[in-house]
Amino acid sequence: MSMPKRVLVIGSGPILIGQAAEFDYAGVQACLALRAEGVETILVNSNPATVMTDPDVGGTVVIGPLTLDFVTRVIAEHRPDALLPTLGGQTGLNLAVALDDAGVLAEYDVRVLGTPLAAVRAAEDRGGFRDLVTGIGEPVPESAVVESLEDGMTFFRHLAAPIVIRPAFTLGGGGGGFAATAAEARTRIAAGLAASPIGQVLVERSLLGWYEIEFEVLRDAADTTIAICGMENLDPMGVHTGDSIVVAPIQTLPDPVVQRLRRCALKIVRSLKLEGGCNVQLSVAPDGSDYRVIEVNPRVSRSSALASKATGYPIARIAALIALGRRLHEMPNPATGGNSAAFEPAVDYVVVKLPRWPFDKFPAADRSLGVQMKATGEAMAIDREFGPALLKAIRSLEPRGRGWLWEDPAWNLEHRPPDDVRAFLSASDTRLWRIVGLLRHGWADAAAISAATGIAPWFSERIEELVRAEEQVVGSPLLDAKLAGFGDADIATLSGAPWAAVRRARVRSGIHPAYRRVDTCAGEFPAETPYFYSSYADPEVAPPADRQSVIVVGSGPIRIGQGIEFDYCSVRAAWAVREMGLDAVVVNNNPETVSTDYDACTRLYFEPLDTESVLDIIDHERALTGTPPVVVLTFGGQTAIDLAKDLAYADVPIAGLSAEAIEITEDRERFAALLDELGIEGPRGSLAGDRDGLHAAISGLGGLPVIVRPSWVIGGRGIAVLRTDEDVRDYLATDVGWPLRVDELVEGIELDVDAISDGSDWAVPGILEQIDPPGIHSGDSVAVLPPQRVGRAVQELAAAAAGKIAMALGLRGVLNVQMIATDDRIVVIEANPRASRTVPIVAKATGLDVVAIAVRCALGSSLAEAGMAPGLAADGPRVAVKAPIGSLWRLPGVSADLGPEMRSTGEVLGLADTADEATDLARRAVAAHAG
Amino acid sequence: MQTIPNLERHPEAPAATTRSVPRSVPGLVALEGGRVQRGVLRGHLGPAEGDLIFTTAATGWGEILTDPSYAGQIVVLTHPMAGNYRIAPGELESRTVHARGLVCTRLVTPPNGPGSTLEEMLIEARIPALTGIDTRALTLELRRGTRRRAILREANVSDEDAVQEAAATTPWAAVDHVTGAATREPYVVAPTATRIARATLVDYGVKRSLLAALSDRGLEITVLPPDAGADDVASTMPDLVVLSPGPGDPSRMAPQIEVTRRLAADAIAGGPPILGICLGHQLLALAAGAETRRLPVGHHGGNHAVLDVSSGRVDIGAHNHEVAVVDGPALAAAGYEVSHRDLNDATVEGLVHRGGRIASVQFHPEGAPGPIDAARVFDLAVEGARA
Repeated sequence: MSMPKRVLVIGSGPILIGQAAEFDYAGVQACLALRAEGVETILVNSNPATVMTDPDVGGTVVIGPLTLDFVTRVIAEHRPDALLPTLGGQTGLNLAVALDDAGVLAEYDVRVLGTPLAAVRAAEDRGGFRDLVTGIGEPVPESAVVESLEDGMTFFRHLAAPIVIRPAFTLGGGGGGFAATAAEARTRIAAGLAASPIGQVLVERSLLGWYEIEFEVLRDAADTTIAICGMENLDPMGVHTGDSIVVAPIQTLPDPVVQRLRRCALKIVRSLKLEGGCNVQLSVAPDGSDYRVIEVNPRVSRSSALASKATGYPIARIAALIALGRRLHEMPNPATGGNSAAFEPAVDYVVVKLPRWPFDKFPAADRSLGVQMKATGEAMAIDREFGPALLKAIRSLEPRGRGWLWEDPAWNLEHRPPDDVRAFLSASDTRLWRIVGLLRHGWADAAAISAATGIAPWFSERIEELVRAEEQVVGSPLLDAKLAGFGDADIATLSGAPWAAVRRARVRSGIHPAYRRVDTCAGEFPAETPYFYSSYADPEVAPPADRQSVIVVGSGPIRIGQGIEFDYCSVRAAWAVREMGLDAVVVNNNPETVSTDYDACTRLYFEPLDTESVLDIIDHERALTGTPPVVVLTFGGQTAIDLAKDLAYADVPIAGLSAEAIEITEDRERFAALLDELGIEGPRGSLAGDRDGLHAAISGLGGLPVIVRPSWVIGGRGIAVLRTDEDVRDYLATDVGWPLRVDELVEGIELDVDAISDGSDWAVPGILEQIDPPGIHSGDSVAVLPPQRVGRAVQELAAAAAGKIAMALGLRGVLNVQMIATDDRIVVIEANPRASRTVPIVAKATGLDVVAIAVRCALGSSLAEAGMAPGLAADGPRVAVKAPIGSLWRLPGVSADLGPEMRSTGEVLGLADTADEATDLARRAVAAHAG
Repeated sequence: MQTIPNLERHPEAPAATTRSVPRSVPGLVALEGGRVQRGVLRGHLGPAEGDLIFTTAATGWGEILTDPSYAGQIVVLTHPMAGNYRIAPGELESRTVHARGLVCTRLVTPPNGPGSTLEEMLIEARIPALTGIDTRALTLELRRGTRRRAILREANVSDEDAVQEAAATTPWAAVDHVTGAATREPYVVAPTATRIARATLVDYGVKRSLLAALSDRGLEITVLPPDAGADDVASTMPDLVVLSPGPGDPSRMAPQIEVTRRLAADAIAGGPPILGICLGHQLLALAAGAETRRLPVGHHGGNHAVLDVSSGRVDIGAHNHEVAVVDGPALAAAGYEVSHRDLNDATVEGLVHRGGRIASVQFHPEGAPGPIDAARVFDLAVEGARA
């Protein structure tokens, strides 16, 4: 097979539940690998907030809708000779199949690289897959593929056991469900048929209570087949793996069972003749005596990203090279630089992944977990043992008071046990904390937990062990608590001391974590992977670093309001730092992302983004380099910004930003005073400390409508527009975060302005105009760049206001200001002294590396040195239209009404010569993912 | 000679373990010329000495400890959580624990159920486990490949004394480990599938899984003790001769090398074909005039890939060897080609004789623990036995 010259790579589009940053990670790895082999890449994706859509990664980048006709046009124009379909998740795979069905690939002579589409079809078509698996002698759950409700019900009655409904060709299990009764079966089968684009569902016997195991497998054209990682879901079957706590490597199964499952996975991948990466999901009976094949995803996935981060083996990169025809054993070992990529990683640590759910923003949503995925993101943690890894993973969720020690007061566990333990422990986002609560108060032991949940006793016993260790924290040496895995904050809470005191005591006693290398081989061979995790163990000799390190703090798990855009910013920031000849150090814990690829930086620390971990890393970097590192907080969203106060308190230099500046922007009173000082108009308003204060503030403004905002918000949590007295009553009935800033609702056009300052001057690379009226969260609003309804003069005013604020705050770096433009004036609503979700859009629309410019300024360069002229940049040749896209329709109980509370999970961009064309592209890009 | 119809009731299989009360004392591991790590001694609380070797296998403690090839060695587990599940009798590879000790980070007490815990197994076999050890740090030290002799013992001694004690232990390579690991009496293992041929296996420390792999393929296996002569083998009229795995340094096994030379000559002359596994493979190379050497870092785990040179096929295999065949002109002169190579460090992992009547592999196609992806080594041998 000859090497292709021009390869089309299809991205996965916007972030949806079930399809997140893992495909940017896969796409980036693949594009860089292909281009390093001298192959041109043509990348098409509708999601602008991705690293892959930068030309230095994707090659020829086309931002546009992932629809059959648009991609056909891209093929006609750019004439790729090959297509790599397995990198863009279900979206990319479905599109590749559609292109093939429509004869487009044949017409333009585009061959499919890697896994053949026939194999994709075989794996994706439920009936065909079942035949294939049973044909090679492997067991599948009893099932029937049905295209009508009657056939489904016939099967259900015949089976006389609970069933699971899985619609064909959907992602994240959308439209699926579990049914035990005839009535449930009827409802779920009907819903599944409606959700499947081909009106087909698989109805199968439920394996509720069995354990769920996954293997990530790579196969090349020479039939070399290797299992990169086996992973064990802590939650037994019945909970979508995206909503499950996942542990790697497999902990609870005996070797013969592990080998049996591994062999089965390899056999299936071989029989499908896949060339590339593949995920195989298996279910095993708790006693290990029996198993079933559940599903196969013939592409890179969320699980392959997790497996890559869990082992250090870059699955997507190697899969892309396999697609080019390379053989596993002929490629160098990606971690050790040794002879061969054909090996199975051995790990000498335990990895725990926890899902991140959006229920904090939507308390009314149905929080139960089942076969339909509900998590928007995930955090992973690594430590030598399971317990510390679990505790670290909890810290990585940024629990904000909901850490290991959290219990919902409504559970009332201090006083009495739940009436029905089984119901209390039914699968939900809080199950882990409920288990801990029961164990803590003595209402259950590990055996009872396992009996009620089906969770393997080994896991229940480890959690029980942590609860016993928690009881020992007070009165035992600090080192013991650290060895058990407890964070400084938990130790502080348990012992009634402030966290800073715990940290001081720890540092004074010389108790520091050591940083261990993730090397794919458990120490068997020397490895240079710059990928580390902390553990309270002996320090490992690391080669000393002699350059100044700049720590880029990432943004953690993806959640609504803080998505992949901050990963884009973190990665570009790390690259900019590296280009400046400094060591780019990244701290993050989201296994899906590009930023947690150790190739993207000089050193990667896979750690929680809390004060404890970041300060420990700063100390370690200082010891390593002999110089205090500089910390960059502006690209990791609110997660990173929230660290500023503690870091300032610890005298850590923060690049371009002071804790004072953050406080001014977050304290609405101080911010209003700053605007006054600068002669910039802010909304009229006042502060309300309680219910009466709110009523007084409203009448002070001349009545409704008003907009209310608590301080310290993310993604609009708690922000509301109150238009009627009823709105006020409803709002007061919620858990209000007093004090509130109560402002008039200024009518006009909302603008999003990103300014970059070098401390003595400012520049604005682009302004986004929100199409939706003020009061709709900007993350949920359609937006256009450059503004279409606001004249250049007012834009200049807006840019100058943002620039002035940046200068007044003493910022070096990037600032986002939201304002409302009327005919001839602007009213500034709020400012965030950090990169916002608009940065990638501005970057894609203008072609400016906005993040690199901001980083250079933050680290001391002038705007001129960073390559940016001061002032508002001239309009570029193209118009960009951003449209939000939500997948919360998946979550029962979440309203689809838009308001100040952000609801979108992702976004798409239309990029064209005119606003109309760009709008049309954006509309089509949204439509491609609707339903 | 006794015939064993069912491997589950193999006379080598251990009796059900009695439940013993776990105890612990402070303990240490000391490496010759190296540093000392202190932890907690569990299992049997007595001392142990031997070469420290590390395995990267994350599961399979029952298989590892009862694998005779670990005789004389103290096994360091790189994976930190050990003993997570109860060990079933079917996971044991011989009647006793052969490893001299175990070093791990965390010895877990597994949930209740059938089978014995790793700790119970160690107590029963009077083998110590040192827990609470940073096995990654120890592994990085062992990776240097210079120091291996070590002791495990109670911690009531200074670091210096412990290190000296380690340095005074008998080197692994100087001791005969085979006699204690192999059968003393011949026995026959009945085929578990339709009988298609007879094999005679010279036992230097065979694993149950290897016997099972052969008997599952329809071989009736006569197992002979390690001092069996070529005539003893011939008198069993085998269709296939299997030279088994086993512990220790093969270069000190002069009598077995001589027997192997005669068996090989027979095979080349049209006598029964030979399959050598691990130690058996090394003996074939030595008999051919080649050399073996101690690897700087032995292969122990289930994740190395091996290239089948002639077919280009790559398989992940179970490896457990400290010694390897040196790839030199002697091999070719004796008519051997390297059939398999380790893809990590190019170690010779298999040999085939020109005439096709002798084949050997260094790795363990029977897995246990670990993958059996290359089990077709057995299929080919069985085909050869039928021909």
